[in-house]
Amino acid sequence: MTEFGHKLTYISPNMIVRGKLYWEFYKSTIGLNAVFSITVSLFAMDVFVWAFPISIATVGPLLTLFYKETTHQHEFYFYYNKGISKTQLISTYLLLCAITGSVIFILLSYV
Amino acid sequence: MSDILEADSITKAFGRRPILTDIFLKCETGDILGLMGRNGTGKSTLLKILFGTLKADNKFLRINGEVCPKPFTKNDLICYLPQDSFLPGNLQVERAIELYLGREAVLLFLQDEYLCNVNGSQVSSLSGGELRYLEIKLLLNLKSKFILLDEPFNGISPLVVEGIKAMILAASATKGIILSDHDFRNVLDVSNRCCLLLDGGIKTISYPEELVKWGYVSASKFQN
Repeated sequence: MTEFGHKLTYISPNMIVRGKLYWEFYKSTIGLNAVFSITVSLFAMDVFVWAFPISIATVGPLLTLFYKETTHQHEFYFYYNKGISKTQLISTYLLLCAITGSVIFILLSYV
Repeated sequence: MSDILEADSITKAFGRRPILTDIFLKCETGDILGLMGRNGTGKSTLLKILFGTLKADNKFLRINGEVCPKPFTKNDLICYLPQDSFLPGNLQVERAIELYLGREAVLLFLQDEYLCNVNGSQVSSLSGGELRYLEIKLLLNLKSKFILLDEPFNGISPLVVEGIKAMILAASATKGIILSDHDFRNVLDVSNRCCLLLDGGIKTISYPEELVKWGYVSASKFQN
């Protein structure tokens, strides 16, 4: 393998730790996201089944982030101290929520 | 090798109220720089600007000669203890240690007279003192070259304060430490250089009685 190839495939311990931290943030908020999403979906009872996964991927994470920002803002320092900026944390979180919503949407469409 | 953090020309105002006006500060490996000042003089603001999470109106920050606008985004460079607890309450203590220091460090980390009872606990169930001690120990054990501690002695019992001071002194062998606290006796005890934030500027404190001269403590505090 070329030197360039090695760089592409090498996953540093730091990247693994960062991955774990992103996952911890996601885990710490997914419950709240689900609660917000169920609440939002109740306003669209006719299409509740479809509104829920869409909400999990869109409105839910935004409400969750707003809640975190207003009540647990200092907890972001847990991630800052490991070199993760708020932009990185939030963009990864939104991506994971989008994936979660998509998976639920696909699963529901087969039920 | 000694690492050097140099901050120059830091200014910050909130609205029309200037908080920091032209701050210069230097910290090297081995330094424990005590930062004192009355409430609202900008101690926490300065630490957050140095860490990189608060935007200054103007700042010039270099670490080992390299300009660093946001030092916290670089690996193993700087870490910060905020005034409020930063560990997420839902985490297990062991998990927090594992994420910061690695799985192999957990057992050794918890072999500590002040942390022996927290094994298996959730962060949210710890007392304020236990949590503060855990956070300080976590940060001091990171590989970061510089550590910023905002009120590390706040709400800590005297015996644990001694433990924290011993950890800070030990960590200073390989790190530069800047700490800010209102408990000036402990700050004077542990630091090898002291500064006072006053009227937006920074004054070097050469001997403790200067704190009286600048109106930070009353003269009666130095009697007996």
